[in-house]
Amino acid sequence: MKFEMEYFDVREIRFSEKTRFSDGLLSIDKNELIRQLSSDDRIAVIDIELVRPGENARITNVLDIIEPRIKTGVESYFPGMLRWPGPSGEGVTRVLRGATVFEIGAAQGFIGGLVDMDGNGAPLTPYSKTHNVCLLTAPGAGTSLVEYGLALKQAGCKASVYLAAATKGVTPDEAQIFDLDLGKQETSLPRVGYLFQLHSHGDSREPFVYGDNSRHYYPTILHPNEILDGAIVCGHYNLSVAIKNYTYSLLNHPVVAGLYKRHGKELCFGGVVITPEPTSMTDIKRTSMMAANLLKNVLHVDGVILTKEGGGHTDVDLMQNCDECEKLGIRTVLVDNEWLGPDGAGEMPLLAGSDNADAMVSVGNIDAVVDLLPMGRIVGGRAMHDFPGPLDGQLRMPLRFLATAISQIGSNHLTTEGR
Amino acid sequence: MLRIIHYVNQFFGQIGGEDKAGVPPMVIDGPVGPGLLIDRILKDRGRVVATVLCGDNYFSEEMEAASQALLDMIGARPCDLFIAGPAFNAGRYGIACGEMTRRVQDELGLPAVTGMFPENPGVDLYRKGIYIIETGNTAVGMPKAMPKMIDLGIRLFGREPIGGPEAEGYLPRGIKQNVLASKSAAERAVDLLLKKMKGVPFRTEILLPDLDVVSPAPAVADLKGATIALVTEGGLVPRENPDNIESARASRWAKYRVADLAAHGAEEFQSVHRGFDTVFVNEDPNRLLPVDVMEDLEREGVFKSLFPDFLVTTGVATTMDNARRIGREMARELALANVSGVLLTST
Amino acid sequence: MLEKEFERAGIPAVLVTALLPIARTIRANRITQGIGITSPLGDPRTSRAEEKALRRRIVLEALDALAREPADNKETKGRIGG
Repeated sequence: MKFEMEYFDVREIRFSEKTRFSDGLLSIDKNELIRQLSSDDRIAVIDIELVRPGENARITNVLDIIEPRIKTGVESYFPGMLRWPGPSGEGVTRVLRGATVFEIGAAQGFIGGLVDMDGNGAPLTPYSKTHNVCLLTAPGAGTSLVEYGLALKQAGCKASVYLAAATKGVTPDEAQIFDLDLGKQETSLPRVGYLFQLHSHGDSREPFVYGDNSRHYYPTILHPNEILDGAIVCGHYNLSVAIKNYTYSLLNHPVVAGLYKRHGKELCFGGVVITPEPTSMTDIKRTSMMAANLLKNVLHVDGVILTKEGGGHTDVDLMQNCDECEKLGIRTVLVDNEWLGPDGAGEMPLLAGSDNADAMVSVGNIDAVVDLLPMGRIVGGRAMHDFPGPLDGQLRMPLRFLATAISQIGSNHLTTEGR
Repeated sequence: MLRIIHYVNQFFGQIGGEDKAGVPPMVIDGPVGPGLLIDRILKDRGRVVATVLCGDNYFSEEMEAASQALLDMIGARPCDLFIAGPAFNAGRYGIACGEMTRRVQDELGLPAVTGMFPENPGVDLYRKGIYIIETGNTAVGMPKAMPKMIDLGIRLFGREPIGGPEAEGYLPRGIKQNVLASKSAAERAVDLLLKKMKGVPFRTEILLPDLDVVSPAPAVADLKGATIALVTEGGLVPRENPDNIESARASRWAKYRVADLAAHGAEEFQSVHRGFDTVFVNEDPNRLLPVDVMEDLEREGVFKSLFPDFLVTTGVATTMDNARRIGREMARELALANVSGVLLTST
Repeated sequence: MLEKEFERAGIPAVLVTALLPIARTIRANRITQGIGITSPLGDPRTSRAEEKALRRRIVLEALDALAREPADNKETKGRIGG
């Protein structure tokens, strides 16, 4: 499978009469963008605000973050979510690099994240360095939470495509080809795969794969290109931001991109298996057995990286997957966050364990607390579900509220060290 | 000029040996014994303004009174840094140094450091809350240990960032702190996997603890005569959540009437638990707490009686300390009511 | 963790949970397999009557675990759930 990514670097954003992109300046016709998103009465797009890198600003109630992208020819993206059958991972994709679309909404039952563009919270989140187009939304009258979530997802995806469409006819700053044949290659390099656990505990608590809920999937092989090119999007608005992956992280998946980068040099990338995280032991055992079998006997990998998505329950899935892989002779490395309490003195970093889990990477203590400075501008509201107190002043806040500070797929540099 | 108060026992305080181990707390102006070494190391950067002293036996027999008296002596004097010992492998002295370091740090808010041999019993008792510089097992290690203690103390006083145990020479405190690594977690994962596959030594970033085993309570001898209580970690509370049970990281628990739950079910009771999708439980709380079946079984005489209250907390990301405390408090309540056995449901 | 404190206090306690590995990790003494995380004592895909019968079986297993010494307390079989 082969596709080309064309990168258009965004250096400035502003509202303007007409949406266009030239010389790094993304001009946005706000009224037209709002019009594009207003055909769905399950959601009200109240306003759009622009927030720039380094600005003295705090963005709140962030439910998802998307990188603006479009597929040349079909002029759409996010197959299954928008009207395009896909598959992802072929053709040419145009990316507004350095820009994002923020899905913002405060609704009882949804858990939003927070992004500080300045101060000591800024280094903890990648989105303090991006130009952020913030969609401020509310549920339409009489709309259920699940329906609002679906409509919000649509709006975010549409806005992403709308903005990326402005690159039509423009020369990209950089282009990169993603070309990988998963057939068994003659190589002495270690063959490495990736087992990607997707949370799947119910509506509003799971991502979408080609538009369908992750809980409807059994372990499935995806070509790495499909993941890097929009096959999976975030849909888990009722999950704390630290234990889910925003769409932006999925589109720039660090494990998939990392294995790609080292393919043919230090290792041979053998492919990806995505697998759900079921809610019963019987199902967990079945999916882990099937996933390990795909890795061993279909993808023929000798080593695998495992990541999880979700809270403590999903340590069970992680350990079960680890055991099944090791049983078949596949060496494993597990990536997980730790639960160590605000002071880092907790005695139980994970809820489940295994003797086979001898090589683990920590993405940090999810319970740690950060002190954030007051910010001059607040976008997204002064209150946030599950966090007491107004959000405009100085804040002492659990790290788990900061967008992608904890990244269970390893986007971030955070880890823990003994003290 | 850093003002240091130093704690020593009767031996290092040059009062005497075991025969003087019963001397009560006292304060001496200026340095005594190892305090002279502190002054020599610090030169013009600081000095020991006072030495507080207590006999090892007196301290261990009257720990509360002795440490309070010493704390009062320290608190009454201007002080920038507290240094205790080092105690090397002396057990009673180690415990005194640990206790004083902890209390001075926590109650007087002063930077405080001590030093011990890793097998000193004071280490296990106090390592979690304080900095203990690792020393040799006898006073021969003094010239090596004291500069490290002073160096760490000066940096604590200056509120400088403190590195890891290996780099700084202190005994691990069982604390893990978030730090930024030079590579992303994804890159580190690939590095780690390649090492593991090549069979070269590698180091995991997460070590799993082996938790304590509790010996089983004796089985319920006669179920037909037993009172069974229902307890849940599923956050099932009356709709208005009158006791403010947290949706995660609980510190509280509550009890409600089984009869109310049986009579009103989902109309009155909902789960506030944030760790799972509560839709099914909120449709029918029996899916979390089997009140319907338990009432049937009580009627049928399978057991004698259902305890009239059910106990509830939220089991998601609860700290071990809170979980243990909540468990102990609930156990006390149930034991007082002569409950024979508990059926605990979790999600 | 609660069950351990009950047992420490001498009150036998059985933990009904969907995820046995967690119960084992925390070293619970008496464990009974529940159905699913989102519905430990029910199966929303079956009728209310079937569901209650299933719940009754799990509760009886749990009571049985209370009436036995843990050494001979076998893990019980789980069903598809949640």
